[in-house]
Amino acid sequence: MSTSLQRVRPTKIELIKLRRRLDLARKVHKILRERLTILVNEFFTRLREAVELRKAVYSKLTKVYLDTLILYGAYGESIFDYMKGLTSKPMTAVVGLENIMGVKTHSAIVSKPSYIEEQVIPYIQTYRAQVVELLSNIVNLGRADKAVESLGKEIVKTKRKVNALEYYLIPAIERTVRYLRMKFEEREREEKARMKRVKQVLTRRKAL
Amino acid sequence: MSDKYIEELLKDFLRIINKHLPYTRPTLGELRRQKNPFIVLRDGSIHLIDPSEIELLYQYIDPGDEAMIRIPIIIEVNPKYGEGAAVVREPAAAKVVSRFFKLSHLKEPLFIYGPQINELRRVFRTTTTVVFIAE
Repeated sequence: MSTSLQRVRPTKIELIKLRRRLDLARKVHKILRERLTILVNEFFTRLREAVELRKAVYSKLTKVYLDTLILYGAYGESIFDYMKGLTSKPMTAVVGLENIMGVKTHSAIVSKPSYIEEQVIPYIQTYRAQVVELLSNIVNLGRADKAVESLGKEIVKTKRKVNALEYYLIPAIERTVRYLRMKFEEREREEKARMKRVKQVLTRRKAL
Repeated sequence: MSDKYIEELLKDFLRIINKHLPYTRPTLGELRRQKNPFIVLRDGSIHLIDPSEIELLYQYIDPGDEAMIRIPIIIEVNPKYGEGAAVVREPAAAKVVSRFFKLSHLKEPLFIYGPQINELRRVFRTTTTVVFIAE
């Protein structure tokens, strides 16, 4: 902790200015601390979401990969063209920004595709639903990961600001205010002592 | 660093802390009609709204209330209410939030606390926002 005092002229005006600055610093500190708490909670929420999504992606990826191999082995490459032909509305993702309390992060919103019902190869319906869910989870995982990264960077910055205020700026102003008060009290005591001395001298002169 | 500069910096913190608030807040009904719903924020950036959250919000409102609820729902954080406490001021939004948390007695303004804020933000990620009030 720093023991330095701010360099100020010992005047009442300076004391008023410093007290105003102290109030402002305390207000900013409170607000930043609240923001930091909310950002940290948000960070953990997004982190949990990212972990869950990652687990889901890994488990589905293996299953979809094996199912793709089976379909490929059974029907050949043409099965995927056939599936494409049955899709009336493709799967799309709108990519944009999301603002989490001033933290900008990338976001994507996935829209579900629509198909023509398939009756010849029934397994295709299940396979396609799995693939859509996997792709949707991958996009959401990317969004959650990016949010975690952006929030982490912002938390570091905010924490530095909060610590600078809490451990440096506010104590420094408080010390300077205390120093100025002591200085004024000292001046007052000096003034009193001087007045007493003057009174003594005047009384002595009168007596003569 | 000069003292004047520090003072300006502190004032700037308070000024820019709410730059993520929107310019205008469309109603729930207006957003539902948009193909890709979004809102423009004070810093000029575009904030995407998840359509699934809009649909979820519809489950917690009375029919016809979609014109009363403005998105994003504002959660007000003010240090004077104590650490971790927040307020939902708008009556329509307070009703939605109280229904979401299954609160039997609706008070206005509605006070919510840390874990509730987290839950609300987890579910309504893009349709809620936090505003910081310095008094």
